[in-house]
Amino acid sequence: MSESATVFEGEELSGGSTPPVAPGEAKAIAGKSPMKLAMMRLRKDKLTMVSLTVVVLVVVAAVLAPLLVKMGVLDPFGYNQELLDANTIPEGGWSGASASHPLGVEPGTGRDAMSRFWYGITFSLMIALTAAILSVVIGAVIGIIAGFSGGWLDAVLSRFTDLTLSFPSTLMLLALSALGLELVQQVTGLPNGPLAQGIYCTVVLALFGWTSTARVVRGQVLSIKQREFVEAAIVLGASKPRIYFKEILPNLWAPLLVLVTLMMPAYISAEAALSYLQVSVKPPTPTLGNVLTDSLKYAQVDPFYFFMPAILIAIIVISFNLLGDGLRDALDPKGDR
Amino acid sequence: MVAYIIRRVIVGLLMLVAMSFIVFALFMKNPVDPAQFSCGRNCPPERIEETRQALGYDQPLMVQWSSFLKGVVVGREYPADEKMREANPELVTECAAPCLGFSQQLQMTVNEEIAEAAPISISIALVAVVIWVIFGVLFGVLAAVFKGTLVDRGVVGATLSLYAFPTFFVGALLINFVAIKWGLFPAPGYVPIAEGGVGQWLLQLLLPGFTLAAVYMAGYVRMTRAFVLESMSEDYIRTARSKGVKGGKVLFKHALRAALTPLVTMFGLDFAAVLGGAIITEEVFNYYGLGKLAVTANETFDLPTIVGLVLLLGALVIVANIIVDILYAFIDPRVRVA
Repeated sequence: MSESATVFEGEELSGGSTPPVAPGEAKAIAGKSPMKLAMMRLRKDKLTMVSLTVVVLVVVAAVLAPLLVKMGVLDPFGYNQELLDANTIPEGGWSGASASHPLGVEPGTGRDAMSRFWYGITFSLMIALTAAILSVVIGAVIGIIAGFSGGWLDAVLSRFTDLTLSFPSTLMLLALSALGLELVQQVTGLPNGPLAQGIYCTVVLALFGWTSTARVVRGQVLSIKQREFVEAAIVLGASKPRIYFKEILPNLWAPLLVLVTLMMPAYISAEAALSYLQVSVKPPTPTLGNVLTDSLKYAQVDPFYFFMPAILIAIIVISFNLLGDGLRDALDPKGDR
Repeated sequence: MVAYIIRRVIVGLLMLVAMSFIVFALFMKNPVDPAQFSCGRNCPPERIEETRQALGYDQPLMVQWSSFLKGVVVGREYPADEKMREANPELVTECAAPCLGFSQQLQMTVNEEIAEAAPISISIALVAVVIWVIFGVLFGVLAAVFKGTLVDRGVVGATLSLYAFPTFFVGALLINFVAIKWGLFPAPGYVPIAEGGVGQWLLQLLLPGFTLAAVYMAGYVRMTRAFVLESMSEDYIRTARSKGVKGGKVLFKHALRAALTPLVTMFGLDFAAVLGGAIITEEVFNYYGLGKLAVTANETFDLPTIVGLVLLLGALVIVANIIVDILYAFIDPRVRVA
């Protein structure tokens, strides 16, 4: 979305440089499988291992958060107004950090800041991961069909991909919000709440985000379909769906894994941008985006609260990006760095 | 070559028509009443019906769509309903081609709204583009030359970090600290060249320009670095070196030149995208460009403005695509036959 990504203006996936290449072509030395070779390369790459560690920690934190909230360890919704001064700014600097509130409390309400950031990771990752998987599924199906069938179907699907890419995505996400939210409520029967807002956000991100996958997959399929095992399947009379999903798809897991990893940071940023535009999940449900949006008001009076969520988002986004790059290098048999 | 250009333009036009149909279908055929979505929040029922007639939303989708296309090509008049025009001749507004619609709330054409906002968006885009292209390419070349050293890691790391912070945070940071707290820049506010001269205009655009550029810079650094490294390993570079051409000259005359082609492609599309309004940047800095116009239209339920903007921005990207493809075909003859 433009900036955000700009998002969302910067929603474009980082790079777009050389697409990853499926493994399997590496000449195995002494019986090492391509998978093993990739793992070896990965282990040698210190930066990638560090980012992998951060990503694992973030994911574990996201999974644990709902449990900790249930157990009462994290309390993202309870007001602690006694910790605020007359201007509703936390007393004592550092957002009023203390043993019971390690990152202080939120100005205005006194809700525990750490709980809100932590629980926000859960919702942001949920939206980003679901949207990334949806995008990859849509993109893979369109890419496989376009790449394998060729001819007019390929031309139509490729033009459709170009067309989707031409839509001003940030603007569409914004403009469709009223309609999309209404549609989600009608289809699912949900009330207008965090769940419906989250579903809208996830679905539109995926609807405008599958194009890169479709392009990468189409390119891969063009080369895979020349290989003997696909020709063998055709000669044996395998059905199209069988060829698409049983013969070709398993050869695409490496580029798809890289794509999902690189989409995660893009969608986390995009969710933040949508929150800023008031079209993502709305408070009091915390997401990284709406926590950060709320913190903008206190940039000067409570800088600690202003910087914390932004730094958190940046760390998560950088880690996923570095992990994606590292995976791409490790899984690329040509990469001998 | 001519055949290629014609084919490319025809495909582009078809895409524009397809896009306009999709947008119409999306906004006119859905659970939210388009008339209500055009009439503003808390609009009384009789006004909704009036809006429906005035904008032609009572007509079938195909009729609405074809009159919109007709408006783009030859212009049209509002209200869309002929009886309404005859009954209230004083309300009739001429919308000259390319007519992008009429805002019933503001009683002005979408074209007029765009004409007011566009200079601001174009200004921000220009400044941002200059910043990100110059620094992006420069840092990219630096990183490639010093590959694997601290310089490389520092440049790539710094631009990636800049990209990782959400745009609205970077904007808020610059406004609150650089401009207000430290007073290094005047408080944000757009000043047209006609009022303050080029100096004032530029000064007020540096912060939003940088905010917008921060998003794109990392991508250009990466791309430049990758392309320069790739072309540095080509045979013709070795040839140039063995001929005794100096290092700097090899870099800029031979290697960077080859890397420019893909960069130009990338640049064309990105520039078209930011030209159409940087929504987040304009919203943070409160500059009334096309992006802010879209946000406002969405808040006030002004559907015609939204539809007009979506189609304008889409058209910009499609046209940029065509131009880039044709340029590419000029530069690289292999493309033409494909």
